[in-house]
Amino acid sequence: MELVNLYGIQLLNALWLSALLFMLAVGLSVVFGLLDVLNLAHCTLYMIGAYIGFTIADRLDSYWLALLVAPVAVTVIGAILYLVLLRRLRGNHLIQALVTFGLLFVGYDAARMIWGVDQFKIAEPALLTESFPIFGQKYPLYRLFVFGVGLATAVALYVGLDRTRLGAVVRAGVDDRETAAVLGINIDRAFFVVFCIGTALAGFAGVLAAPIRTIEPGIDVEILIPALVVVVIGGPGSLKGAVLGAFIIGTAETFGPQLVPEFASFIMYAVMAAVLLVRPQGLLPVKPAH
Amino acid sequence: MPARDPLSLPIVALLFGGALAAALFVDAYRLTIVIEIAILVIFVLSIDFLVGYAGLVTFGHAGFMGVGAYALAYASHFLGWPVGLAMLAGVALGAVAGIVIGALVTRVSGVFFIMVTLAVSMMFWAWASKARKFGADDGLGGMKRLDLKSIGIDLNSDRAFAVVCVVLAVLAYFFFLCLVRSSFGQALKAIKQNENRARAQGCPVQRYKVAAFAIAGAVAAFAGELHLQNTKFVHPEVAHWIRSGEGLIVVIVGGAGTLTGPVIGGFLFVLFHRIVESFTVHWQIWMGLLFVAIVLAAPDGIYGRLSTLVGRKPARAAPRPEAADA
Repeated sequence: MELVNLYGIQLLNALWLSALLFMLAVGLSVVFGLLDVLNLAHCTLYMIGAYIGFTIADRLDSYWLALLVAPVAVTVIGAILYLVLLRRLRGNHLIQALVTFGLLFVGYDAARMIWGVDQFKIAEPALLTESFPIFGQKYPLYRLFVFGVGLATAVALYVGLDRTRLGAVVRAGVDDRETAAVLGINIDRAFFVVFCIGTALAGFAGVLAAPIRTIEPGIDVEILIPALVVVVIGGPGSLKGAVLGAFIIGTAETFGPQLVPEFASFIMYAVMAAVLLVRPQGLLPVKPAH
Repeated sequence: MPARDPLSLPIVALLFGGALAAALFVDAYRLTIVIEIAILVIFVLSIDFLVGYAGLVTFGHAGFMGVGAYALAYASHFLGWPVGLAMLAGVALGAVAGIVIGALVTRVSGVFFIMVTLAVSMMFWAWASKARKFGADDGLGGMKRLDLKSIGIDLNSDRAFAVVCVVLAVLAYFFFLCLVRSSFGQALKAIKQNENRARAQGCPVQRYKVAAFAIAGAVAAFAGELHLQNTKFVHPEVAHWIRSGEGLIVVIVGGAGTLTGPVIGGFLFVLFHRIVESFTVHWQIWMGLLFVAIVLAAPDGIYGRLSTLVGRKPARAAPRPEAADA
């Protein structure tokens, strides 16, 4: 029974971490898979979201306002970045990787200049400070909330891609960009909207994570690697792949330290290497391998 | 190819000559800059060999520096081997690691290749930052430098060490120059240009890529050993992916596939870093902005742009890697 409780709690931890990774990775993945833009600075937007959220929550004393406004602010920054820089680099992965790698440095130092090197946390909203009795302990309600939000996001994105006009345009664009453009669809605008949704989710994830994980310079790079791993093992551009990948990595990162402490730090990389060797296109690729 | 390029030799002679003169005459603080440049140049030359000639865009090359540094630390510090022998062992291990990792990562291509190389190097980093024997993420001091007293050189003097490092960087440059001009180097270029064509012509593509990885791995391990002897300290940071990324940036900014370009890039990177650092603690923001500006303004790199300016075709081995696979 004690074992069940222990693993039950770990499972809950795996779930909220997976939800967080999903929200971050899905933007990265879709932007790469659909727009062919490899944006290493995606996690800089996550970090900036967390910082802006902190400032709002600190000044206005409202978590919900932070959760609402910070993603909008991040989206504006992302949109400028896309229109000024990333749009021009489409198609050349190496240059994209390097330019956005340069932006990582810029974002890191900009955050240090504005917010300093102190660690911050956003207070949980009053509604969710309670704990929830489960598996013989009290589990913070807020973490379940993060998982719920992640789940809702996944469902909303799935429905959006499957049922809406924008979703259809995006799918058409991914399938055959030129044909779609010839048929009079404004692919560029649709892709821009997709990019903005991805950045908004990054900012959103930043605020969501802030009551659990501390905010400090460097959290961008720290979360970038797991997010990239999720993208790669799930299959770039694949929504379902991002869900599956996030769940695998979230679980591995949570259970790893418990089960095999000495290997915990490289379980994630080992999983990725193994997946790539068996299925180089990722577990659930958008397009079947040729 | 540098041979047909009139700019290459004067630039390299100027830079290395300047570094050598600096190593002989400047003060102690500037000596550290010279040493840093020389080690970075060796490291980025090995990256350029993979990226610019073999078309293998690695985002994890610092992992090999880590292999060299940790192997040297283990053999000389814990096993008590003479530093020279330990260095040989480290380089050999770098080559072996290159073969193993090369065989693994060359199975995938494009952006996946970037990701897997990143992941593999970070596995090493993750191991090193937990390895209690090596002080985990605090690192471990008290490492020794190579003993060359028998031939009258005391490497514990930073000046002598700087001179040796610059000479080694020059040797590394000519080593790779000979290598890319050899039939092996030509075959790599053919693979980079069109892998299927090279395979159809009977070139053992996979084996050549792995061999390129082994060579680049051994040289990077050597650079890692020099880094260790410079700081006399072993630390996981040597293998961190930020270092790999910086190395790749230096190569691209200098001009991939030219050897001369990365040398220019290495000099500029260290000098720029040190100069900006002396004005502001926020050197990274300026470095980042400069990266972005140069990559956008001169996708061929500084050296490629220079070559174009003097009216010659940029000395590229082939079209930019990845440009065609989108």
